[in-house]
Amino acid sequence: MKGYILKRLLSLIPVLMVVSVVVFLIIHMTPGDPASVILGPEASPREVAELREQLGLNLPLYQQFANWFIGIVQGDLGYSYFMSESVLEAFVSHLGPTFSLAVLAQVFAIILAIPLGVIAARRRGSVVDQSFMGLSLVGISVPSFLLGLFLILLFAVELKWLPVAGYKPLSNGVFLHLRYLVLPAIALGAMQAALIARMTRSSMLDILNANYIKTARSKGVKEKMIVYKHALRNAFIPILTVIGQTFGTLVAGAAVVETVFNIPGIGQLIVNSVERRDFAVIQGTIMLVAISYVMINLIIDLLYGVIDPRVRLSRK
Amino acid sequence: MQPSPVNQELELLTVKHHIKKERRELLFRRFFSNKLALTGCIIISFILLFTLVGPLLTSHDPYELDAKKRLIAPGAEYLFGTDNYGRDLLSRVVHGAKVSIGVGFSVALITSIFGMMIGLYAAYFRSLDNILMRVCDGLMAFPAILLAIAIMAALGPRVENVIIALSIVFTPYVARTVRSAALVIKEQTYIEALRSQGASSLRIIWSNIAPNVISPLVVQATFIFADSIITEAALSFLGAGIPAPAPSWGNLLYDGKMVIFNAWWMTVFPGVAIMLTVLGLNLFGDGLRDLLDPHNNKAKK
Amino acid sequence: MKKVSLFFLVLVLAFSIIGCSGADKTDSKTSESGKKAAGGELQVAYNAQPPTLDPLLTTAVATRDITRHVFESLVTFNQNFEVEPMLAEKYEVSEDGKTITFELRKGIKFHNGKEMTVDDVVASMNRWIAVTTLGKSFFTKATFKASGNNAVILEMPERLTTALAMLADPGQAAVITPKEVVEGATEKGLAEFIGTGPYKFVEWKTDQYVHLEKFKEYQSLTTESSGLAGKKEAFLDDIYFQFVTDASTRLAGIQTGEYDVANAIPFDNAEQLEANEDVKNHVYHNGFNGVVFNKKARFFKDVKARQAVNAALDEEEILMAAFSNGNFYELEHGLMIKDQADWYSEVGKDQYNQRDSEKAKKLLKEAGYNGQEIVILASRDYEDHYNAAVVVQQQLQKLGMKVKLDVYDWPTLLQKRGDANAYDIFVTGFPTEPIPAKYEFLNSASEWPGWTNDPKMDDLLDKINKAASQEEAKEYFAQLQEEFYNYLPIIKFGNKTTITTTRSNIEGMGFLQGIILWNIEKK
Repeated sequence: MKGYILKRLLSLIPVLMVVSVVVFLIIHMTPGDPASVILGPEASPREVAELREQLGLNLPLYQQFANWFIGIVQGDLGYSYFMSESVLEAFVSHLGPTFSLAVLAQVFAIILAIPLGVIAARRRGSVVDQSFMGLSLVGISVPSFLLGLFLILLFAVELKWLPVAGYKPLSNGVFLHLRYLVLPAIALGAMQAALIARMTRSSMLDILNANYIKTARSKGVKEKMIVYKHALRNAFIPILTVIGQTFGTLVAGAAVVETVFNIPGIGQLIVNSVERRDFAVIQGTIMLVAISYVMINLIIDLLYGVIDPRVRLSRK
Repeated sequence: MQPSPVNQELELLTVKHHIKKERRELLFRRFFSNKLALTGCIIISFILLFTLVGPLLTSHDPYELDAKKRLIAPGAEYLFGTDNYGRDLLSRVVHGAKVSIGVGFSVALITSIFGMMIGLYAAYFRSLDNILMRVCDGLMAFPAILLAIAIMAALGPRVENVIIALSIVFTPYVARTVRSAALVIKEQTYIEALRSQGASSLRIIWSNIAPNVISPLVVQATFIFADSIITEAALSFLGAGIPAPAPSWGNLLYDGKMVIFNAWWMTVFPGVAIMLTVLGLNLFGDGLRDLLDPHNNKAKK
Repeated sequence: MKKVSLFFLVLVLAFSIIGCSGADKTDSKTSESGKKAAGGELQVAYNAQPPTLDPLLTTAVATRDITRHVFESLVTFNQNFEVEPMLAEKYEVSEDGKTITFELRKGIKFHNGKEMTVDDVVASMNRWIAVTTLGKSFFTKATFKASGNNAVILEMPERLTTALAMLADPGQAAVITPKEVVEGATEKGLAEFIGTGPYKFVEWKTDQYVHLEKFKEYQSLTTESSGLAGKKEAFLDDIYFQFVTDASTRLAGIQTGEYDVANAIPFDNAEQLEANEDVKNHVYHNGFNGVVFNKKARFFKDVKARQAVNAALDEEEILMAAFSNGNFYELEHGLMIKDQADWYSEVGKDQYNQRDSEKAKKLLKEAGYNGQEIVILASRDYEDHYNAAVVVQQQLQKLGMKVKLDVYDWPTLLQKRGDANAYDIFVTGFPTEPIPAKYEFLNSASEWPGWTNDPKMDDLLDKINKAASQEEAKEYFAQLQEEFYNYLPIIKFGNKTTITTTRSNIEGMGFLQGIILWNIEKK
């Protein structure tokens, strides 16, 4: 087990090398520079040039990359051009909202999706099944920002049940925190719910048709037992895969939803940093997101072993 | 009573032909009995028809500005109403369909071609596998939309660049699918046999493995098609996609968002267009997977 | 079984929603009663995050609007852009105009409790000279020095009539901070934000908010409040500038009461807010937009070509597209607005908004136009810029020109406009400047994008600065405006406004080159 984890961690190194090169190249191909954004539209070209020099932006590209890369290896992601904080501090201060949002969206998705998927699988072909699956297809087909806007219109502007946008940290109280996150979490979680429901259904179907279930049935084991103990447990691996994969997409989708709901999370940090050309923050944050993304996948893989003892991790 | 070799050959051909025909008919029958694929197909046809017939329903140009006719609600003159520049929304949604579907289709096609090449070669050559898959992993380690935003910022807002950005983002997903399908094929005995007979790698890859990965590839491409439409809309919604005044659905939503409180039609019509198209493609893709994947068919019986 | 789980599901969902909305009620009650007990807080939905809170470093509007509540200058502007003392008790200009003596107000306290001294003022002013555009352009040879314990003298090598206006300018304002804070500043700006204003800085959470708190020891002037001058009272205990870049979110939030003030409301939505009794719209004059020509290279290097465009443009149509309603713009040719009575001039009115396509075509022919592509740069980050650009493109196409509109995000535009070979026109906006010299497009020295290079205008700007009296300066400015309409470095579309919406219980909202939140009461 330890060997496996170590091997997986080592295999991350080339991935992250690729990530760092790609990120750096894309960002430094981007037109616009932080100096002119900091100084404002009326600044003269001379002042912009001076600030560029201070920020080290007129060094040759390979030198900038080398500086940055050496920094990363030493665990230093650099300083933001705009905020008086390091990239790591900026990342951490924006992590809370995204994490809350993603977890809530995920919880919402799981609570909604797994029962729906199981029901649909058991009643395969029935009206219930078809309407659930139709609903899940609609769920996949509605972009989160569109759903978000509709939710705002209905629940915040018309019914005035929930706030339009904004964010209150957990320190302001759990309820206030949740109140601001309900709509964005639904907007963000709807697509995950649809994906998980579909995966639950299809993987339940596969299992329910498997020989050992048939055997169990023929032995007279109760249907409830079969469905919830044997089948669901085994069907959980593909479901978990989907959850793992989609958790990463949640973070990505969060960027758009965070913009609609004005939530100061990682997504907005990246979008805003692109807008103000805060190169150090974009580079560092995307690196950190990529690392977390791969780490989440690793954890999901490890969880397979816990849930399904048949999976021998060291095999591969 | 020995039949002549010619006759034998002929008979074989007719049988072959017959089998092919039967298989085709079976596929058709199964297609029509597959409600998902059929519904998806109908929706997509409807959208395509709409883009063809739409221009006939309106005499207005999608770029024609008229400040006096701003934000007119849907009615007889303007079926879908007008936007905040006084442009006819119907013709903008119709033209938007061309742009959005065009982007989606191009991305699906480009990612299929490159994804197939990368996937096949990665599966066949172990040495390449490591490099190619690490690059794919690297690209997949970015959340798709964030990578697309960064690429668009670098390339600048043009339709071609949206296609390039989305292709870069989605190719690894196709490559992965193709690779895993190809790996299964590669282990089969007849490939082993071909190889031991000294068939060239190129031939094995393209004439023996490639045809077998087409089904999962097509299914994946359908989903990429749908995903591209959504991602393009999200990019344009964030102001990083197709440049105005070209009417893509994402752009129309961006415009609509600004006036969502006094012009619901500007959000609803392009929104519904996106939903329907993506729904159609997803249905079609699902149906296709059921049709083409023998494992699923077994489960059905 | 399925019914049971479905029921369970619905129950869970319903419970969570009810739970949340229940919590919401109790919460809003407590916060309401909290508001009444103390001075309360002001939630401002602001459309942009400042790049820094050091007012000297940037010309960005967000920095200016927030920091004006924290910092103060020796002198400042009233509503008519006339200079009034703020931290100075009074000032005196010498006969030859080369020396200005500022007598400081006594007992002024900084937010850290320290009393303001002449040393603080001298240190702050020297940093202003070293760092800001105005300081570097006009004051490098000037010196600030202490005179006794209570006065500061500005000595300049030659007369600078507009010096006081420059010191009062709200953009890159000449703010006074403690000497130690000035010394602690790095190239990245101030490390501490300590001023003398009615609100003190508490916290800046990136991408979330800037929190300001009432400064209890603030010593207000007793003169009548006008613009940035006069009496300042902090009725509210806390001000939160919430950064809400998305316009539709600001719009929704002001309607539901989430925010008390929301700035930069889209013009298309004004009408809808007008109908809502819970909110009030405040329309403020906010400078102007225009097209800036590239005068260094390509087609508009030729003044005839610029005149052709000026002859053709229908400004009303452009303004209508950008601001959607006649209440939100004003056809106005002058660089200085009517409120600025010290400057305003009628000269050049006949050159503005000509709508003469015959004349335009003739000029175009004289300029030798032969179908080359004209590139206009605009950004959708400013919807009014973009909307105007679309109409300009259309109007020029009607003249038979081939026009391409390149739309970029704002930072890209800022870079692209610096490349003389890449474009012909860019669309941008300008705030109302207190003195002509602040308009970068008039002089050749700053090499501001567009690259104005007109010796006549340079000469007149110089004369304005050195004029013996305001009357003389005004005379020169009239000549400058005439030359402006001959040379056409830019074309002004007309005056623009900005809409700030408040809840209807908010009173005392002010505006002068940005929102003013002291003197606001929550009824």
